[in-house]
Amino acid sequence: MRKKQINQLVLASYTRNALDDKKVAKIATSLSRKDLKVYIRGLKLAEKKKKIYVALPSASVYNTSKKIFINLFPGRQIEIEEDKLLMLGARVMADDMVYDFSLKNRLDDFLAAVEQNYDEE
Amino acid sequence: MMKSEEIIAKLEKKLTKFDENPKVANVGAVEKVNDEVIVASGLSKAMMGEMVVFQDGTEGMILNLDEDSVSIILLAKSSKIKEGDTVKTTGKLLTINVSDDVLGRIINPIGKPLDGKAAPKKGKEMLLERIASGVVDRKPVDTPVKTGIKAIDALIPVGRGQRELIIGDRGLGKTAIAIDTIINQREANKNGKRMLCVYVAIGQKQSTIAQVVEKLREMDALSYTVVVSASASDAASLLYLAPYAGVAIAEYFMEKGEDVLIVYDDLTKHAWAYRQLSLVLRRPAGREAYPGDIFYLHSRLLERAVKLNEENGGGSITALPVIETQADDLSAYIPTNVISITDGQIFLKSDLFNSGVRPAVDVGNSVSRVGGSAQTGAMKSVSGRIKLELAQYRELAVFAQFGSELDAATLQQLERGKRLTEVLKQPQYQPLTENMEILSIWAVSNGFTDDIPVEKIQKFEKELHAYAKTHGKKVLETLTNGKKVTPETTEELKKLVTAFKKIFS
Repeated sequence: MRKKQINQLVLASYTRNALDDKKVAKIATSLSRKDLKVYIRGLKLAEKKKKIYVALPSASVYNTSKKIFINLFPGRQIEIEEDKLLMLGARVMADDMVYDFSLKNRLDDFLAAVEQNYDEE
Repeated sequence: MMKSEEIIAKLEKKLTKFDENPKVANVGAVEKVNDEVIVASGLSKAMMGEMVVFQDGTEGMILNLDEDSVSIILLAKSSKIKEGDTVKTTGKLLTINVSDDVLGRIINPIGKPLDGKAAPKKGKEMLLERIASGVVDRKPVDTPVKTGIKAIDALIPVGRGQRELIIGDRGLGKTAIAIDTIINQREANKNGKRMLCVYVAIGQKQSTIAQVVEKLREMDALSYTVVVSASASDAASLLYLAPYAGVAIAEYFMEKGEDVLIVYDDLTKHAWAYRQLSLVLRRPAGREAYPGDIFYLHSRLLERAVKLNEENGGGSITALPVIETQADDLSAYIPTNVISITDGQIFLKSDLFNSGVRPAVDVGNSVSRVGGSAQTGAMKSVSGRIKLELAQYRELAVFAQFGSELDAATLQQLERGKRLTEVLKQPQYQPLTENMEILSIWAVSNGFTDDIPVEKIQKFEKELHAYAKTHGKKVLETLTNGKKVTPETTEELKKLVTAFKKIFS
């Protein structure tokens, strides 16, 4: 089976924007082992696209900034995780893009710029 | 050293330039690890040739963009990368840090030192892949590269900004010609505009590279040379990048107005490395299993050899690519490709090498398409005839094998040809100054050695040079200025050689 056809099966596995277990079971039984692997990968990718991962230095900050994220990514499920190393700000992962607003990232940038421009003495 | 206030002020300046926007990165996941090629999904915004960083810190470069995956070559060996690892784009194309500090150093294609010393000082980040200078930035080749090898300087002259291929079977002295040329720059740099050298070793044994480095050090040539090493044990990706790293280093110096000589030793192994990568990348294979863009691989590299005009600094890059043939076959795929790209070739033949002609330059099949205009007037006036004389000699020598009786003119031509061939022989690591080359060739081509036995020609030449250094300083100085040989100079040369012949036994 072609990859394009499997991608169509992935899209067909959803009912009202949610994964339909009956449809998935039906499709899975008719696929070969090789195609099933591609199908699972496709499902994983589709699920990943529906979710937004937000890393915050403290989970308590989420309550205050929840609305902002819901407005920024309407219709997408927001997963929250705590990462104390960020210090301040947030890191948002949407699909394969990572938007880093954290203080840690800024300091890393600063360090990289110093390393690139100055010799070790 | 910079004061601490200055450092902080510089950093503060940099801080103001920082983008307020967040850092955006494109992240993917490793799907497959195929030898030295990693296939990763995601990375939908990745660019061709962009650098990426794996979870374990290993760097890579994107070489293939597919519909929903990318193929990445690794820039260092890593056994830690596994399926599912994250990989991040950097937004940067592959560069190499170059500063004046790289002179005299041995580095790998990504700028890491291999000589056990500290990393070269921070300088300019030079792009490995860059479009060559355009037509308006260039000027014709007009200055010679003095190789110090009589056969080349007289018959196949190389100019600054030229691309001259050195081609031949293995073990015929291709590297020796390149190394002699580098060594000769030590003397040549004393009299004219200096020439820096970059030696790119691709796919060679580490012991061979060590020998070359040692020779350069011994001959005091390492101080103006950079060695870029990608040995046979390195990853194919490093072998593929090595010549581009070399030319990026050369471009750094060229932008400063310097003349640079770059040796790619050798491009056959470079083509092999690229074929290996292309096959793993599943690119369609063509003739001899090379990918379709194998010509472009070398043409875009050699096109970066250039002679810039004065408005652009007047620097130059002269390229001496090396190609290894199999059984003197010039018509194989890679040799014909590179022959058509370069401005001429020095063809070394095994028959000549085995009969003791060293360097084993096959004058008939060697050519320099632009170097003639760079040859000095003095060299031009003495070497003008000898190419024809040598060609005639070779024809006659083949013919004379069948007949026993030859007329006097033919015999004389044969004898002269033998002596010409003899005088063009030269031991390795003994490049000559131009005035000495002219003196030798002038003496033979004007019949001063016709009465000297062929086996004594080398001795004659050696002693003539020693004699000229003490008794012919003036005429040697005249020959150094590069101007055409005048009748007065010819008279002085005659006197010098005749006087020497009287004491030569």
